[in-house]
Amino acid sequence: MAEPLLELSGVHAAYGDAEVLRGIDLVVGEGEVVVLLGANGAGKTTTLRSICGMVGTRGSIRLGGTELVGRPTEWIIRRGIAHVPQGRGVFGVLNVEENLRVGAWGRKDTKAIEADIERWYGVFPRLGERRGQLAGGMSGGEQQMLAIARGLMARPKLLLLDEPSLGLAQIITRGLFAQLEDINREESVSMLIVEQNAELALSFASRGYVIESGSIVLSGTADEVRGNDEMRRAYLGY
Amino acid sequence: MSPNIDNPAFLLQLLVGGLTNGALYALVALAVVLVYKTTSHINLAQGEMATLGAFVVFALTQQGVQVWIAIAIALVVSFVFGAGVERGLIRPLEKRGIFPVVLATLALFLIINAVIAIIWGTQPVPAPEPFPREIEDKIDVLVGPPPFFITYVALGILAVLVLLLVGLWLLLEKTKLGLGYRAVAANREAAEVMGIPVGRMFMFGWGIAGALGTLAAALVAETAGTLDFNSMASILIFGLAAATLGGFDSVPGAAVGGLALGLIMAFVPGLFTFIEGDLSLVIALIVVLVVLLVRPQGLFGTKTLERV
Amino acid sequence: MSELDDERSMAALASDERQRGALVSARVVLEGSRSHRVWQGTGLLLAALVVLLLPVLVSDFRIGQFSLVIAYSVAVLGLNLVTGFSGQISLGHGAFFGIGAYTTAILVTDHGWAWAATVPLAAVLGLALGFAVGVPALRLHGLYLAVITLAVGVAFPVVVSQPIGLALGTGGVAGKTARISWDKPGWFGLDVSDRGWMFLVMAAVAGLLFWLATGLVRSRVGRSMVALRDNGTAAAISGIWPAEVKTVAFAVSAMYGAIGGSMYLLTTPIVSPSTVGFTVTLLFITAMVLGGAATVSGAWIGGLAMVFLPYYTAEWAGQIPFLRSLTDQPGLFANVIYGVVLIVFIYFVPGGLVPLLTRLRTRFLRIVPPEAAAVATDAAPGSATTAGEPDGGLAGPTPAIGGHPTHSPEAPIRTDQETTR
Ligand SMILES: Nc1ncnc2c1ncn2[C@@H]1O[C@H](COP(=O)(O)OP(=O)(O)OP(=O)(O)O)[C@@H](O)[C@H]1O
Ligand SMILES: [Mg+2]
Repeated sequence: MAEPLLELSGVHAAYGDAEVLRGIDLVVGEGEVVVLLGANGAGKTTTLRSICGMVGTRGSIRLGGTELVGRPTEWIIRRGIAHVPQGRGVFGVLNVEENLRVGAWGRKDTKAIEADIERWYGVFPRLGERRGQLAGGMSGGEQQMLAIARGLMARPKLLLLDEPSLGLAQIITRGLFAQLEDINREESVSMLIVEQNAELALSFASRGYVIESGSIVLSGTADEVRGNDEMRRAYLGY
Repeated sequence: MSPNIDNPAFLLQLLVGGLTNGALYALVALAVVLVYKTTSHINLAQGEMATLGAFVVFALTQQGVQVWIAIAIALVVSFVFGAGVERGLIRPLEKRGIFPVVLATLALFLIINAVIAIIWGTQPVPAPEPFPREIEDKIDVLVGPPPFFITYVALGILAVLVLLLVGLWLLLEKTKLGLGYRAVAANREAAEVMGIPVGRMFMFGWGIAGALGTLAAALVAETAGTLDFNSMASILIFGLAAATLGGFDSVPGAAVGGLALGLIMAFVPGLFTFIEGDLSLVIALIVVLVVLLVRPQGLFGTKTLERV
Repeated sequence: MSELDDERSMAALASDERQRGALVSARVVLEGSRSHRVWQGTGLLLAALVVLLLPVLVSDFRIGQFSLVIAYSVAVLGLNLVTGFSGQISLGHGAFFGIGAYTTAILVTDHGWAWAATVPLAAVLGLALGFAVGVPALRLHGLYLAVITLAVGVAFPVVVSQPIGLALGTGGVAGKTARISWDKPGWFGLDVSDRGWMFLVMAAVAGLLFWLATGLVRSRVGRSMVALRDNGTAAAISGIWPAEVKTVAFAVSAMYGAIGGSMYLLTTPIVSPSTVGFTVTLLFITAMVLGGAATVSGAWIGGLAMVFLPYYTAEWAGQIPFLRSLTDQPGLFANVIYGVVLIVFIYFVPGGLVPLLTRLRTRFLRIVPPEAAAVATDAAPGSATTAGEPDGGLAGPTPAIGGHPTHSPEAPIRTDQETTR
């Protein structure tokens, strides 16, 4: 098998003294969508943060064969990763359009950037209507849309999404996942998605991992994960 | 109350004098703000770095370099120096909170202050004169008596402030560099995740601040007529007061705060004659205290100066 | 080298020593035990003996220098209290020092007061000014306090030379002279000069002030100060009143500064705006960091540095023709060195010299608090470095500047996350 796009092996991470990740092994293949499930505080966000070099990390994280551990965030992002942080990670005092332009920071193709901006205005009309408005003055859901669009502006190889459905209306969430599916299919952007809406995420992802107190306790194809009894009780509720 | 209260020439003179000084405070306040916005630090050596820059101008003009070219060179040197200080001295302390950084800037204060005095002596030297400052270099507005006139120096300083504000606005609002700088200022962590080289934005802010400071010090020297190793000690306080008044994270706030402070310091002693001597530092202190008690974030600021 | 490495290597060293039994193994003493008190008593006695003998043994010139050390040490101690122990930035210490010096000078020269009578008034004025500056500290944090105290520190020397200062008798730019000298009383047996006698009186006053400061930092208020510094929220929850504690710290700090200023006039017959300028504040700060911000005894080291560093620098610079040709004010070189020393300490010795010396001492003598007695022979690295010493013990595990939390040795390794201390 060819080298996977992203490969975590034996990843430990900690905030100060508190170890949060205790040896994570995780793989995202080229063009694959993988979902990461787990209870609150299990370490999902921390996993994404350690991929981006935003938390003290040990172990190995490889992107297309390149070691990321020990590199500064900026360097990692330039290798083709986009991270949509959990909650409101938008630039409040910048307007919508400026936020999108910041998302395209590493790109030089001015024309394509303009086209992409218009594209995401098409997908999220709310953003198009508010392009001149300060991001800080928008609703939580609108900010979430902006954060996702901003992440996609980077045209990443790998998209890390931290609870993208947080604060979005059902219908918007479904629309969003449809969009993500399109992007994945058409541009073969790989995705690692953290999601509380496990059912929805598993219907879209090809594989899933379940994390508990900083360790992976279950992994497999989406169906396998969905079919696991414990998993069902804990996260799917049936 | 001053007996000249109803004398228009007197009041106009106070107004212009206040605005001119205020423009200088605004320049220093801008330097403070540009450092603060991204790094959340205050460079207490800003004034000394500025004085050093002004001495570079002085040294170059002594060598026969035309004054504006000397200023241009000094601005570049100051930019590099400011950025270098951020990278070399401040950044390694970044994660240890405000106190080590405050101490480091104080150390820099001591060193630069002493080095200037060692190289150029403790006696004042004649200031470089970017604007003509002979007695006849003025525009007469009211013939008087009493007359009212505006000197070229005052006009020049105000013009510099206006040009700088326009330039800064273009730089911050219309360039990619400016976008990155504002993104870091708005949300450092998110900016990092966007792949923005945060460290370089810090250096950019410190560099611009260094250059602004030098410009301010050169102009302060011109208004005073002389330049010495302690030229900027009080001006830094006025700059900090102006930044407090305008809001530590607001560029327009720094400009407004500076001008307002200049006016306060012209009109308060001008109109209340029981204030004897130069108590401008006390006035600045009072302004800071009042602002902090009434509106800690300043006129235009968004966040209060807290960094735990 | 990080402090952490230091601590670890020291602990490792200690246990190595025990295992090999080769080197001198450290003597372990229980805090508060009889033998601890004997050690303490011996130390104090020795110190007192040195102080008493100094004026007998060294010249009046040196005694003048040591008197100045005392005056500065008292002032620096004030800074330690507010910045080191209570974690508040104070950039106006030169002003507090100045209040004391000017009060004494004016009262002695213009009103014929005795020096000793001026000290309480200077102290009260310092306390009042410190209180006035400390009140904004009730609601302001870090950098605001820096701005306000900086403004006070810069404004003070300017104001004393303005008409308002002149009206009070400050003597303006030229400064205020005050000649104070006492004769050695007949009953005093030691063969010392009048200067030496003054030195001994100063030493006694300073001894009292240091003793009081030690008491303060050990008191409830002192412990609250440290708790607040290390974690304001937690301290507030556990019933400490931040406002009161912070203001008290500021006021007491200013009082020490003012008394230091009064004592200064016993060594130097004039105080001028340049004596109390912002540079002096910077030197106080450097001295504090040098000795150890969160220590009481560090103030001595700071005072010594403030006197002897410029003295020897000037001597040294005077001998090098190139340096001599640069400036006629060799004191400037000392300022450069101060700045460099400050940077070096911030980076490499953020805890200052006293914790370093304490650690050295633990090689030979370890003082262990009773609770830790059970594990006395295998004390944890943290307690090995700080236990027992009145300063270290109070400073707790965070004697470093800025009071940021110590990292445990087990913290995961990612170099850019760990700070080099
Ligand atoms: N900045 C931080 N400092 C210290 N501890 C943190 C920090 N961020 C998270 N933690 C701790 O790390 C653990 C994992 O947090 P993480 O954010 O990765 O959880 P999560 O799985 O994303 O949870 P959620 O579903 O609530 O988003 C939690 O116990 C949390 O308390
Ligand atoms: Mg999370």
